[in-house]
Amino acid sequence: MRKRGELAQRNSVALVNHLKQHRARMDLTQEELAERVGVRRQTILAIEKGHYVPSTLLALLLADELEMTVDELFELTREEGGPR
Amino acid sequence: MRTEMDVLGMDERQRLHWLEANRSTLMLVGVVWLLMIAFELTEGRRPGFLIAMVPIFAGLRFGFYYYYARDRDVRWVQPALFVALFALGHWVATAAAWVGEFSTGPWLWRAPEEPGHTLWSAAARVLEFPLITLVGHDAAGPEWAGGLIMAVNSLMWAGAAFLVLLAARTLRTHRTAA
Repeated sequence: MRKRGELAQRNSVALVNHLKQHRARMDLTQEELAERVGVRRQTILAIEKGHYVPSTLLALLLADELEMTVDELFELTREEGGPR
Repeated sequence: MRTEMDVLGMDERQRLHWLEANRSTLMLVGVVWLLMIAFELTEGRRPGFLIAMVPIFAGLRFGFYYYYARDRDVRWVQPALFVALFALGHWVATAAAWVGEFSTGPWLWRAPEEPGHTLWSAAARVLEFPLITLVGHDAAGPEWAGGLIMAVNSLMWAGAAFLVLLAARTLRTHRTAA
C-alpha cells in the first residue's frame, strides 16, 4: 500500500472512502461506474483501495452517480493528538 | 494546450502516473548523462558541453516549474526564460560555429574535425554580429578575451531580445485595450 500523502500526514488525518459499499448498493460494477464518470476501471479500483485520491471533479461525479454527497462518500478521520 | 496525455486519452490517475514515469525517465537520463561525463573524463577528454548543460537543464527545470506552478510572483519568469534562452542559444550557436571554424586550432579544447567549413564560417559570421564583427577576434590571442567578447555579445542579443519582448507586450496591451 502506498504511504499516506504528505498533506494528510502533516495534518494527522486519513481519508477513508466508502466507494465500494455504495457502488455495491447501486449494483454497479467497477467497469460500469468507471464508464459513467469517464475514467478507467483501474482508477475506480485504486480509489477503492485508497491508493489514489481523486480530484474534486471526479469526487463530485462519483457522488453524483451514486446519488449521494461527497461528504458521505469520503470521510476525513482525524488522528488522536493531531492539529485541528 | 493539447498534450500527449490527451491524445492517449488518459484519465487523471493515469496522468499522474505518466508524470511520475516522466520524472523517473528524467532521473535515468541524468544518471546516463553523468556516466557519459565520467566516461569522457576517463578517456582523457574534457566534456565541456555535457558539463555545461547540467546547470542549464537544472535552471530550465526550475524556470518551467515556476512558470507552470504560478505559486510565486512569476511575472519575471517569462522574460527571464526568453532572455536566457535567447542569450544561451546565441552563445551555444556561436560556440558551435567556432568549433567548426577553429577545429584545427587551440579553441574550445579538442574539437572534432570540421564538417563543412563554409557553413560553420557563415554561421559564425551571423552569430558574431555585431560586437565580434566590429572588434574582430584573433585565434592566437588569449582564450579568455574571446570568451569575454562572446559573453558581452550574447548579453547584447539578450538585451535586444528583451526589447522585442517589451515591444510585443506593449503591442498586445494596446490591442487588448482597443
